[in-house]
Amino acid sequence: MGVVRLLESGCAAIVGTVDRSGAPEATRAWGIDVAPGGARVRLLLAAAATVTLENVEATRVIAVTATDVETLRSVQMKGSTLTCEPATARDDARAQRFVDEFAAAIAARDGTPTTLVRRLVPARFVVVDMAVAEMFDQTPGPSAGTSLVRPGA
Amino acid sequence: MELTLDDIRACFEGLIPAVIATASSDGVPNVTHLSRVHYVDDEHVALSNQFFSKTTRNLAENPRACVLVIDPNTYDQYRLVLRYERTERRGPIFERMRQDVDVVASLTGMQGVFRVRGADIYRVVELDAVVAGA
Repeated sequence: MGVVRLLESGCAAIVGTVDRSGAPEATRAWGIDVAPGGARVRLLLAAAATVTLENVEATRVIAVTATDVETLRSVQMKGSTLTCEPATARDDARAQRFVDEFAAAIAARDGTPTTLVRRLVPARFVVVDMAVAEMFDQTPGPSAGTSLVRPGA
Repeated sequence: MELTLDDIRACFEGLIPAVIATASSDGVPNVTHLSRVHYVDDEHVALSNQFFSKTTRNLAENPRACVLVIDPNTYDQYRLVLRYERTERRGPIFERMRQDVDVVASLTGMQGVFRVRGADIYRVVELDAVVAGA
């Protein structure tokens, strides 16, 4: 599976940000789309992730890790946020597709009912546009943290 | 009523990977999955230190971390804000963690790859439920 396909799949997508004092914050993403060329990605985040969204506004630095639920292959992107906007109906539909794939992947892995996984899903989303500066292999093991070439770079 | 670590003990069974965000001293975040967060007592949790990872390097510079855990029975999610206190390289917490990692390594054929170097002990300074559907 290529990196773009992993990022755009129903992966376990997690986000790290930091406030002005250096305090880190974690949240989940509910869909990643890679822009043509690979230098930017579009992230769907929970509108209720208030600390993350405050950090995005304040410092703009962000890290995103995507993990394939079946193989645990992982990549981490680091960069900066460009814009943060309310989700449109099209974005909501994208999030729904992501949730369907994510829940199905977990069900296939360990039998967890998809209804249970859906309990994590936020009701409303925002869209964060991210400029990707660096990319790393984050697959569990001693090679985690190895630099990767960003798609399109 | 205030939420306690004891209230969410199911989250520490290692059935669902946790999430940890850290940040370097110059403010660059790092986010990754953790196989397990270990309950120590009602004010502390422990994380296994296995590699000289970015998470480890960040915590040496900036002792703060944010962790997400999920209750495997309900899929309720919780957010823990942590502050690193110390690393234990022997004793009951370390041994429990080492056995746990050895079992996972043997199940995945990764003996010799995953090895616990220390049990990092963190004070939990905030514990919140992440409201689902919000």
